[in-house]
Amino acid sequence: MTILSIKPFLAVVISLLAALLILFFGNNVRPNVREGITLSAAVIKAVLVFSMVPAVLAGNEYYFCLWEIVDGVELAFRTDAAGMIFACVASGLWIVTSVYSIGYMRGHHEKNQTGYFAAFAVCLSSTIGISFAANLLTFFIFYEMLTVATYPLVVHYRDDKARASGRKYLAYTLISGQLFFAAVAAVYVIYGTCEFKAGGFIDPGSVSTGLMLMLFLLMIGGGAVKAGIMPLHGWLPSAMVAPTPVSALLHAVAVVKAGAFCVLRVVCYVFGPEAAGWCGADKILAWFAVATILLSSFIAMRKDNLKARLAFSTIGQLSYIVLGISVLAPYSITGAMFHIVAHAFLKITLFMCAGAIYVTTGLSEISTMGGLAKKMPVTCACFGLASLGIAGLPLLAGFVSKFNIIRGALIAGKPLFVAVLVAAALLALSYLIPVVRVFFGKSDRSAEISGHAQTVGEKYGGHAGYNDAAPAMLIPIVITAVVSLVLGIMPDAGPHLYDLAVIAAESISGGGGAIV
Amino acid sequence: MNLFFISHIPVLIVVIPLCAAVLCPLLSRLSPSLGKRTVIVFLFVVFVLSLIQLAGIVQSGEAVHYYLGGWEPPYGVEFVIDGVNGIIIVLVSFIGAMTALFSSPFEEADKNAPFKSAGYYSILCFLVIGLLGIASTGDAFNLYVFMEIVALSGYGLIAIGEEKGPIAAFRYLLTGTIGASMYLLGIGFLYSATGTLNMADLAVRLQRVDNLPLIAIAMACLIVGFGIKMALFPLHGWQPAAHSYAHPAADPMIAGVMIKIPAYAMFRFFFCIFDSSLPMMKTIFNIIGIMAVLGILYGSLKALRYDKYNKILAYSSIGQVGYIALGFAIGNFYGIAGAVFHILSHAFMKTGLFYTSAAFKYRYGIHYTDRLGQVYRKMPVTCGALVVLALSMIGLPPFAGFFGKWYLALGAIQNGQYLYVAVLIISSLLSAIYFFRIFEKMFMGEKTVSEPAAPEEYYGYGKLTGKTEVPLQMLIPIVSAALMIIALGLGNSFIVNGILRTTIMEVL
Amino acid sequence: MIDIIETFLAEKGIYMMTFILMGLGIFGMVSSGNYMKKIMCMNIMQVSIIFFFLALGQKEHGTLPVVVENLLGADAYINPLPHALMLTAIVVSLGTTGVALALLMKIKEIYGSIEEEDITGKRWKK
Repeated sequence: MTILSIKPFLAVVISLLAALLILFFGNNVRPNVREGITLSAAVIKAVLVFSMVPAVLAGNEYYFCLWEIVDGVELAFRTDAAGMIFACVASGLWIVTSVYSIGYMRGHHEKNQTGYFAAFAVCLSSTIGISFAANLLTFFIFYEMLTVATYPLVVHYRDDKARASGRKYLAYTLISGQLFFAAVAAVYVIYGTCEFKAGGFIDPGSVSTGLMLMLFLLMIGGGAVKAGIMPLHGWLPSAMVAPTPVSALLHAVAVVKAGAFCVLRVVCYVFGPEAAGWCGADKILAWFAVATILLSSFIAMRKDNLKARLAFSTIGQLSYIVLGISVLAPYSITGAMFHIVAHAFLKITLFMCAGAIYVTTGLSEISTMGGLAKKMPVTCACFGLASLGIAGLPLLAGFVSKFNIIRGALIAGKPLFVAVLVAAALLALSYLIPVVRVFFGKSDRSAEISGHAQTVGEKYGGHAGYNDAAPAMLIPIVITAVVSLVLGIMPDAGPHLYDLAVIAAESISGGGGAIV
Repeated sequence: MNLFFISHIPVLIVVIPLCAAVLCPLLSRLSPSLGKRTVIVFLFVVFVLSLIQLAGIVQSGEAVHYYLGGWEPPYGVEFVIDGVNGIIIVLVSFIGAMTALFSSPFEEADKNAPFKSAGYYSILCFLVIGLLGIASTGDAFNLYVFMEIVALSGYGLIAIGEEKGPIAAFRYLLTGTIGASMYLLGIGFLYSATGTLNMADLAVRLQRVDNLPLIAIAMACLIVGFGIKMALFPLHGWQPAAHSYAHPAADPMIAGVMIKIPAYAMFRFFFCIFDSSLPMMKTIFNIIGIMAVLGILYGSLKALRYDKYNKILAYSSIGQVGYIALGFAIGNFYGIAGAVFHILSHAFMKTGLFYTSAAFKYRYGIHYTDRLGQVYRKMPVTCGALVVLALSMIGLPPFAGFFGKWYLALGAIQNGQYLYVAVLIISSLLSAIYFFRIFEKMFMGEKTVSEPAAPEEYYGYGKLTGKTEVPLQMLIPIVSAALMIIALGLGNSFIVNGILRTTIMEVL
Repeated sequence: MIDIIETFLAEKGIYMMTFILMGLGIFGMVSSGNYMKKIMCMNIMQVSIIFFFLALGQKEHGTLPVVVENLLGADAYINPLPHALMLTAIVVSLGTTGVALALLMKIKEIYGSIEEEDITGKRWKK
């Protein structure tokens, strides 16, 4: 059942090594070398991760233990089904984002690219570490590493605005991280273990309700901040000052998903559905998620900046995952896990589109983008496709996950949540479809845009009278859009991510006894 | 190596630097650099010896006893080295050797360098001797003598520092003498009760003493004595000035190690000598705990107020010494292990940070963090090490600072002292504020660092050469401190379980 | 009442004296503004501790712990150990005072004064 293998560890360190190499060579080499290192590390990592999928599908687990990191806790990696899903998404999307980053950074002539690519690689390393961590302490180590590695990305532009949002980001994540730390230490002292276990290792009734609820909230706080659950979402919109690939990474792949994954680990693998239900924590979490879904949709409608609108959309979508988890029904947990995948592909498409529009035309406000589809048809089509996916239309990836969450909520007898989910899908339509309509609508400013585009195109792309985004940006966009379409039609295509989600949900409900 | 040699290692560790300290001024007469090279080589030899000694202790699992002059205790002075002080001796000798290496480029720009540098190296050697002596000795009065050697050489190294050095040294001298006298008074009380000064003997005989007020007074004296020496909160007055104005090359040793070794001595007294079942022990630990909590908060808050790099580090040390005292106040296995581990990790962190501070002074004469703008482009390696060390100070994994905090938190939770956990968290966050502020200035500051065009505007210690990174002799210590932080962090359970556990379990 | 005081003084009086001396020393170090006076008070404090140790070693009818002709029983000699220790302590305090004086000369050189208020610019008390 358990396969001892160094593969999970290698998958974690490969990008760490890449980061070191990038830093070591620094600015002394041509950008090609730096980008070559990034890309080859991304490919090796993806190959390593995906090569582990078949065995995990067959019900096995890879396990690798380095050594005892502190008294009684080991620095260990285990590839269970839930971790596998997250790792597949992160490593797969790293390749895409790397290609896109290269196009974006070159097209935009960004400074500080060495630090950027190094921090990017460290982020991915910690994300894989988070997904494969076998116990709370290993998890926490990589979780904090992610916090620190994201900071240079957020402050990439190094101006006052970037500095302010960097501070905000640190304030949220470090405080929640420290509280998480206290909870981890307390859990270790009380239960004598930190090892993740499907269904949780905490027995209901082992400590008083108040203490258990407090431990739960301290731990979940760490995840909730990164997942942007209101009222802890403040850092996310202001982190928008970062370059677009960073936003794509932050909002689609690494950071927010790490937060959602943290919620999953805490609820299902530390406390377990039983204990979480016993202390009433699931209800608190669910209501916060519901409030976030609704509020963020309303805020998103009012944002004119495309990236800001997408950021609030992310906040809402992440709460779907949290809501799915806190319903505590097998179907909804499956849905929540699959939403990690679906939302990753959809949102990264949206962000990369926003970035491509910005680099090619210099536009960032929605109201100025009228008739853009004539100039950039492929980009706009992909944007439209992903928007529909986010709203949860059938045949797109978002539908599969939302359907499962709703099914779980119905079975668990929580029709109110069903209503919220349906309403939220409509709300998502209401804030994303207008954008698409602007793209494909008439433009009274086409002259102005084309004039601007002419100059921008000459300046960045080097080809005047361009049409669509540069290939290095366009290809990743098309790939992710197609993948989200494929996943919507055949959720099991490719690495069987849907099956993995089912396996994980079964292990959680099987291990933890009856699910509420 | 024969058995005779091995059996004399405990004393050789103290005697070899003594030889170097005496030889250094003489050899400097022959050739200007011979003296300092001797010191560096001798200190590295001591480091190797201390490693051999530690390996022996870990292998046999027993403490090494060395009788000076062959006089058996309790009549003679003995050196007792077990797991805890074995590793502290390694720490002191390693940082001592590294600091000696680090200092070597500092005097080259000076005119009467040979004379000054010989004196400097000699004093530095005496500092190392004193620290090694405190760590090795098993005799309470001997400890006093070594403590005074440390203090006297410390006064010297602070006085030859920057403009306010002499006054800082003088203040430290007055306060430090009160501390030493208090310690002497404390062991005077213990001697009057037991008639012995050997630590092991004291521990045995104190169990038969029923004059509890006397022991309580002795403890109070010892807390004040050690408290002054380790700059524990209300007794820290001398520390910020002393750490800010000391000679930049020696500052890492003074700030990183000099205040940790009295903390180790405190551990010896309060856990190895005094019986932990005494009724007032709980009160004493609570008092230490209150001092620690206030110190942690005070140090962290005060550090926020300063812009001078050394001042920030000095006040952060007050907080960090509080961590160590907090571990003693917690008093269970995890608490003590956390405290001793924090002695090690904080020694490397603070030494490393003061190395970087000295590197900035050396190359650009920078004292204030405001002037660090974009310095990472000029000194990438130094800044990389600074980032690692600072993240460890904040207590982020997987660096050593985090694991010290982890053990302390485990100990506090085991005892139900949740206040202590809260304080640890608050202090981490406060230190995150002041260190990330430095990062912001380093990486995002607008004023860029550059070498002044005219030599008379240049305040650095090094020669104006147009180079940007510091010389190799300084880079090696800086990088090794950062690497040690990573190694200690990842390998902390080898230290805690492999080396410290047996000793700490014996005294509990 | 008188008796109690008398026995107390006879038994513990010397210790009280040393503590008063020590208190005076520390008070002087804190209160005096002149650095030279601070050093003197520091010496007073150190001397008080030396007295304390010597008083510990003393006993009634004890003689010098030196064998002159024939060895007496251990009861007949005073305890020599505190004396030996205090020799070392005296050397240490001598060293401290020496360093203190050297620093003082340096301070005088830099600031031209050894008065606290001249150096810090703060007036301690009227």
